[in-house]
Amino acid sequence: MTHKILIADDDPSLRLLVRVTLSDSSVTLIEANDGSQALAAARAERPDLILLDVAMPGLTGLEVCRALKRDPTTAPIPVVMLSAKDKEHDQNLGLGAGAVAYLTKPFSPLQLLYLVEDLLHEPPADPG
Amino acid sequence: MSPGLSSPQGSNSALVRTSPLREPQMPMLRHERQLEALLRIGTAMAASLGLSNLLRGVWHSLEGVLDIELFLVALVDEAAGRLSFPLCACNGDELNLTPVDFFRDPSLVAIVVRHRQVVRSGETGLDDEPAQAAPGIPLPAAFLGVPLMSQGRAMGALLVGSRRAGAYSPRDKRFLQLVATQISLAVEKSRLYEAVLRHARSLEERVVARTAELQAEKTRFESTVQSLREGLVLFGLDGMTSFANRRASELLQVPLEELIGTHVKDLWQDVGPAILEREAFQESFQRALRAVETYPELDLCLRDPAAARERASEVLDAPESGRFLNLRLFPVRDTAGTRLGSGFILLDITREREMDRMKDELINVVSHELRTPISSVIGFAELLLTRQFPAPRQRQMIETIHREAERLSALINHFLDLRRLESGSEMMALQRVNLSKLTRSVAASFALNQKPHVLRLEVPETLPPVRADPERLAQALHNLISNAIKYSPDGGEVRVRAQLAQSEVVITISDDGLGLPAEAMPHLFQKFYRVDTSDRRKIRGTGLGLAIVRQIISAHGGRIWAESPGPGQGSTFGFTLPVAAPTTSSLKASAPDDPYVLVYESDHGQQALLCEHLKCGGYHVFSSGQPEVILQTLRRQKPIGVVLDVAPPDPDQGWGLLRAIRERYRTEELPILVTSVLDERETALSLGANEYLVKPFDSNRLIALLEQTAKRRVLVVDDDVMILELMQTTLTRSGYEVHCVQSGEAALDSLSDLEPDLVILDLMMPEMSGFDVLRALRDDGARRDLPVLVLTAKHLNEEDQQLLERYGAHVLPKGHYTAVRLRAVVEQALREARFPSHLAGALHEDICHDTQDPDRR
Repeated sequence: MTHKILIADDDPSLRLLVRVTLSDSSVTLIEANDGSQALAAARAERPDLILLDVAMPGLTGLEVCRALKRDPTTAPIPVVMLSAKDKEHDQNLGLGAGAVAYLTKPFSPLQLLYLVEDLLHEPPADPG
Repeated sequence: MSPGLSSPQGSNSALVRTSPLREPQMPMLRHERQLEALLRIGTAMAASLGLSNLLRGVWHSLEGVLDIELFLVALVDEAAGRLSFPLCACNGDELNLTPVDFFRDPSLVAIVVRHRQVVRSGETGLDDEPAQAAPGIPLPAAFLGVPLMSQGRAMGALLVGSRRAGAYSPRDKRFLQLVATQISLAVEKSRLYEAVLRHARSLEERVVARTAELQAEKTRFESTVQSLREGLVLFGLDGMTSFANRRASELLQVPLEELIGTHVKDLWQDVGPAILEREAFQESFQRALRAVETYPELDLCLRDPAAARERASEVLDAPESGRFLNLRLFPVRDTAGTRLGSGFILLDITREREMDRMKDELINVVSHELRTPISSVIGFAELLLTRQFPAPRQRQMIETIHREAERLSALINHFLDLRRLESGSEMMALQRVNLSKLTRSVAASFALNQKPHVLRLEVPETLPPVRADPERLAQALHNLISNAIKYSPDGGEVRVRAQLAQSEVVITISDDGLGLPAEAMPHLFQKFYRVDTSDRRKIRGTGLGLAIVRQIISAHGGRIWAESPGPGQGSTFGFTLPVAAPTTSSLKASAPDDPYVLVYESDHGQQALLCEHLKCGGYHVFSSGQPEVILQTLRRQKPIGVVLDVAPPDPDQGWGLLRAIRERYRTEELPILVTSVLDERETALSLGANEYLVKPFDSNRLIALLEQTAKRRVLVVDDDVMILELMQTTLTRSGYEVHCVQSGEAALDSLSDLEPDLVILDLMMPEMSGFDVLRALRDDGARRDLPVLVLTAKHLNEEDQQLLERYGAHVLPKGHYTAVRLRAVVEQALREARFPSHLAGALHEDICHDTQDPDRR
């Protein structure tokens, strides 16, 4: 069975990195390059997992995550924040917005791969 | 008691002992009146302090009891040695007598004082009676003179006289002695009083002066305190404020009169300024006050009144336009160390806060901007190391790594550039720059990957060269063009125009893109300023690009500006550059043919890479990682340039080598490019490096620099245009910068502008011959050693040959040379400018072609 994953990042190199990292897995990757695209894609495609960059132009990753969690149709989708901001405060903000994990850039692609596989094979989190 | 002359002491003591009441010869009435007069005199003396009034009183008191037609008082002024007359009454009139010499005056009164003798007419005891009682006053028929004594010294005399002979009895004499005693006491008292009065007056004067001084000091102190840039508030042990300067009132936004006489606690409460987090601040102020002995300091933030009005409620986050104050408490003590109270000074630290905020922002931007490309580099490198990919994918990944690493490098350079530009440590290598060519090469770097945009260049070839640092100018142009492209996301035309306006060239870069809002205009060139409109948020940047451009343009002495009709209507950035001063026409050489570059690089991988690049650039290379080998090679043959790497862990080895090379060759004789991962540009330049490149650098830049610095100038002097053309072509191809002139005069004129490394000289020219030129050169101290190669068709006789040898000229007969031979002779002439010919030795291509590191053989 193939999984749908949404990656939202305004940096095309990073999207390519995620694409290459997940190329061996049975994953369909949807790409968005800003916050509002990400929100629209999440609602339209209902991916199994969302990878969100924090510092995106327009809507930030945090804002997107909060919006996703407010919407009951998208709330159960696990969100992983990807960010160059590495302070504990930033991580707390990410997790507080409803993300299940916070990966600090630069991250190891293997680490991302393992995290994605774990999250895909875990039962979905209880939205309550 | 003797009736004759007696000493004053004697007569005085006699008077004390002898009561006048016991005198039997005097009628009672006169005696009583005399006693009464004496009493009056004594009383008057006791009351009165003014000397002349007192003497006048004595005179009148005596008038009724003695026959007095003359009444005279003389007083000694010891300091001046004179005798003065405070009162002289003659027949009822007061006379003013001038003071006389106390030691020499012959009048009776002076004698009485000098001899300290009592005299009575008829019993003077003098051999010659003086003719005058006092200067200008004849001696009367009867007289009585008594010295005025004080502590055994005569301070003056009292003299009375009458026309009636025998007017004074011996009893009258004793009476007058008593009067004299009273007068002496009174004079003494009066003198004492005057002294006290004088003293009091001087004391008073001193008090007035001191008060004025204190007032001036107070004024000075106050104006100093009022002029402080810091606010100052003082308060007593009871906490009541006793002083505040105007600045404190200004900073706290509280009227001065409300600041003084209030309790410090209330300062923050009732009349308190718009303090943010008032309660928290009050608490920390109280805490600080308790620990005032430790000189505590704390910060407070005041809302800007304007900003405060806009905010309805108290918001706790930092205001955009607040005022930050630093408050420093201190105990106040007097000189003895007793506590009088406390005080605090207030400093406006808004600017410092703002700087801190900018610095924090910079760090955030930098860390974010750096991490983004690093993520790709690390990520792809890890994937390549751990997994297998098909070749096209591999290539794509490596390309991404390369691109992101370059982005990273560019970013770092951006920051460092700006720092250097701002600190003014970046030196502009100003030279003549062909703007048209430079613009084309900058534009070329965009041509490949900017499809939706059209880049139109309108930079005429005919523009005069500008005075600029080509690299910095290219950077500025690149930034501006790149911005124009970035901020016209829907594509369109980007126009680069340049035109001459008087002594400057005006360059404009315009686009049809997003345009600029009017409020952004004043901030555009500020560091970190980014126009924040929704359409611009998608576009990334460091916020440093325009700041760098502005720094570069102002370092060139140019102006920069921006224009935009408004959002959505495109924008134009313009700047000016000064036109370069004209120089002698020169035909620039194209590619170097066969020069050799000496490379010192201790890292073998780097060395191989560098040699490869240089070889691609058409140079022969000799490289080594050992300073001794470099120096040896240098002694054998002078290279056209040295690339010297200064590397940790032992940068001193590189610096040492640089110093050693500079001991042998001056900067203008041999260019040295220093490369390093360290940013030690200053050190390198101070030790004599011509250029400094921070690794990683673009190899094309290295070659461009070598070309710029390594080219040696040859001045060819010949009246034959054919020969000039031939030389130009041959030598240019061999990597020389060739300048041609057609006469000896022109050659001498161009020397100071050109500073050639070599002169190639024809002997047979009209007007000034080659010999004349040579003579002029050798007579000029600065050019005594300038190598000269004589090119001649003339048959040289022995005399000519000797002359040329004496002038140290090399000779090459015309028509007997090939391009190779010409180059060899030119090289030899250049070399022998430093080395005597017997040491130059056999040197040639064999070492020039050696790119092997000797220590690896």
